[in-house]
Amino acid sequence: MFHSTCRRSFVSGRAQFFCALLAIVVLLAGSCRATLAQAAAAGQAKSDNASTVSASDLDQAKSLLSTSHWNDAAPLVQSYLVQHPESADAHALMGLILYRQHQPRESMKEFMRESELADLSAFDLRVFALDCAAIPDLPEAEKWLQRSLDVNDQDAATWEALGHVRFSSQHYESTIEALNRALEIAPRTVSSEALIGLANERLAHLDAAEAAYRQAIAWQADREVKDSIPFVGLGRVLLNNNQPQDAIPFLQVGAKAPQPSSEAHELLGLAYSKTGRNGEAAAELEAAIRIQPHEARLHLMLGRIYRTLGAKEKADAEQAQYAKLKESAAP
Amino acid sequence: MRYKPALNVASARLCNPSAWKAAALVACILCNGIQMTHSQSCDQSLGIHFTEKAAAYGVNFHHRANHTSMSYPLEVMGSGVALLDYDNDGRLDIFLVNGAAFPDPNPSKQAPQKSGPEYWNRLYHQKSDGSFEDVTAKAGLAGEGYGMGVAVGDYDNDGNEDLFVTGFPHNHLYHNNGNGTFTDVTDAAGVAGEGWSTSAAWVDLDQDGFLDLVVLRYFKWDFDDKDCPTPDGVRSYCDPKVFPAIEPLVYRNDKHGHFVEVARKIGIDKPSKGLGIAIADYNRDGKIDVYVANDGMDEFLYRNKGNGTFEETGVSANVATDENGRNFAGMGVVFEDLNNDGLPDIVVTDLAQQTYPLFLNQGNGTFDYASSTAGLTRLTMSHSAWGIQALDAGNRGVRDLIAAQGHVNVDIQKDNPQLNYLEPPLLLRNAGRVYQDASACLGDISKQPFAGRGLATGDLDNDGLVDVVMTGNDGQAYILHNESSKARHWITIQLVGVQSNRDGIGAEVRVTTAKTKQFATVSTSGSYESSSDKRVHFGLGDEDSVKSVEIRWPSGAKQTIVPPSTDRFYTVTEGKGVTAVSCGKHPCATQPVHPSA
Repeated sequence: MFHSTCRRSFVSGRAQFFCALLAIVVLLAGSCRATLAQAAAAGQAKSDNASTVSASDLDQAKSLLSTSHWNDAAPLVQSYLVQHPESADAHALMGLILYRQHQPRESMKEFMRESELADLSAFDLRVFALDCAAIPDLPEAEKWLQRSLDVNDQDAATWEALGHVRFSSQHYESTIEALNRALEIAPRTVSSEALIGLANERLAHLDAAEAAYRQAIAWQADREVKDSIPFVGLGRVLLNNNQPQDAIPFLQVGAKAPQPSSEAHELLGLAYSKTGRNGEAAAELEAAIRIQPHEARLHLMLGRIYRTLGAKEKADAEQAQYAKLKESAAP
Repeated sequence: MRYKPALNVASARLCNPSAWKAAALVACILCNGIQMTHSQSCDQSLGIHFTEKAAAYGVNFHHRANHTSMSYPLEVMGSGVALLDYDNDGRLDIFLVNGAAFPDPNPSKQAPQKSGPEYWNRLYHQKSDGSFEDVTAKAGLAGEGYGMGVAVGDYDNDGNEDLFVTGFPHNHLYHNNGNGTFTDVTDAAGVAGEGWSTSAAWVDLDQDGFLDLVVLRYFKWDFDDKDCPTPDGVRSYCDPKVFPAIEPLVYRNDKHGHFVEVARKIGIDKPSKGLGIAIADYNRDGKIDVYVANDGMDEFLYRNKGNGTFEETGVSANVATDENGRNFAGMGVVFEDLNNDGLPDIVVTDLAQQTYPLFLNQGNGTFDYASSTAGLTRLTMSHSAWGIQALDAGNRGVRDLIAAQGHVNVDIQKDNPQLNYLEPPLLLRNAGRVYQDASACLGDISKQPFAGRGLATGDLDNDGLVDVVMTGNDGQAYILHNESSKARHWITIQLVGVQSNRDGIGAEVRVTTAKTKQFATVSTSGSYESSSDKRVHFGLGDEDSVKSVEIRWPSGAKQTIVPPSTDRFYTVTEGKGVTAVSCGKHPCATQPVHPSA
């Protein structure tokens, strides 16, 4: 009972955590690409001592970074740094690459090195902060995001990153404040609005959460590829409001996303089971388990549905799998 | 403005293992939504109203938790309360469990001691004027060790209620001598146990007419110095996952003042982190079953196989987890018919962001998780609760729920600014298919947050309205006097077993009126670490007559009475019928008639 917030299934929690981090990465991908040219330009000014050939390599690396080819860019920047260990720009690029490669500690070292050579840009401060978040050291992450905003408070991505960090710190009111700042600068940003919905869920403001998710969904009405997070969030809120029938269409969108989360299938399965559509419920739980086969509780949920369907043997098998996975996860 | 990251600061924090706790905290960020609904004023049309009267009644108990710099888990878990009529004067008395002193820190693992009167357990005797007097010393109930819970039962069938007090490092059984004093018979009875015990239940497991005893233990612990810092690096309370689960203790009564530990023999022996226990016959086979609320692991439902042994069926009965298969921090428990369908349901208290799970009995050996359909998801997701009981607050003929609330983690607001360590109690009014927050009808205490723990119910002043007593960790006890409308009718039944245990614990009482049928199991267990009045109370709404009261005794005997009047306390003796009638606090409007069996 201590630390209630840590009491959820750790396997599930861990998966969700990485999903959350992934969300941050995805969130920043566009903005990083957008500001890379700016960073590169700044780097060009810093790299006065670079040789012509090496500078070309660095330009090529920047080009690769702009198309998210982190792994291809890495050896070019590393080579450049061998010849130009004092290049602040190259250290900054290496820091970014290592962040993208999920090596936050190594990334941070590069930014530290850069800071010895030059002032960090608002962008670099943000990436450094996200390294802190990835470790995770959330108070430090917040500190460096604030400092990034001191340099440039008109960067919506940094405000949104601050929202993510505050959310992870379970400071939901201030999460919403940061996200609203992000939306002032970059209106109709679906990811910001969806996170406002999630923060309101955590604050038990279900009506506000529902409104935010509906807003985020409305903003992407004419998009071919939709962000599934607000759809799943709205489905979850409606389920908690005892509106499973209303939840189904939104959860169906979430479950049909190009890379659906197991949660989308799980909640859709739950909504189906609550509306008597147990065959479809079983199919959704089976889909959720294909994504997260070692999540014990999903087997328990599926076993319950099988039992309702009269499939006793399959129900028993799922229940046994639940017990087996629980036992293996026990300390 | 430009900033340069300070390598020393950042790198120092990189190596902070507590930072990983933050990762675990993040684990919940995609969890289900919550809703805190606190009505600001009491809807007078509900006819429900309580007033807190501990001081007015002379009950000035203050629980001493002995919080330390070490954040030992023991400190935040107590304690319980019991409502019992220990001197058979017809008025309920109050027993309150207390903590004890131990060193800070306690590396040598010194056993906690009740080093002074401030740590005594307390027995408050109710006088004829309704006020209470502290009779602890005279009764010999000051206690030993660090008290946790209490269970009331007449284990030797002598007509006097005995007390079992759980705690650390041992438990204590106090035999009621029938003259206002108690004798500690723990050693002779063989029920000291060891370790950290929490809730206990008196129940006749083998149907031999004598109460047996089930004692839950929390986990294996003995002042172990586990440092479980917060993300800020501050020492804090450990997640129970840190400690190994432990088997409960089950004592069979040998009818001669001695008990034999039989947990393994009868199958109530799964290692658990037990905090709450309640009894009822969930599958309607005539045998009493046992539900165990566990903390952070599967909840247990022990089905009575009828041959003296039990089988744990929580998973197959759908009561082991919530509907998403998630474990929750099970603490207090109610195991009663909450929707008047003749089947005992289950509701469990837990921590904020988990929802108080409601399991409705489907009548086929399984339960349906119904928190969202009953509105509990919205109403309880932001709350944490411990003691809980079902009571018909306004005598409407349906059972409401009342819970003592507060988070376990003293520092919770540092980690979760939107959560609270201290919370006011919660009253959930049964509005048919859904519950409504009627907490404002609890009076001023609805605005007074405290670290709620124990909770017991009983009609303290015999006015036909059920009252509530709550405890606060390291705080005072609260008496919520029920001052709801007296316009509605009621009936209260006290059983006296003959073949069955004298308390009638485990008996089922079914009241039929022209409009409704209600059903209750006689029990003193349930809630959290607490023991409620053994009498069963039924609100009747506007119905002023009862067609029948059917009793199924633990012995298997069945008995039916037709009470001639409502608004009465009836004592029914097994095989004899009504043996006493009282109108309680007020004179009877008409002379009660003593009906035959």
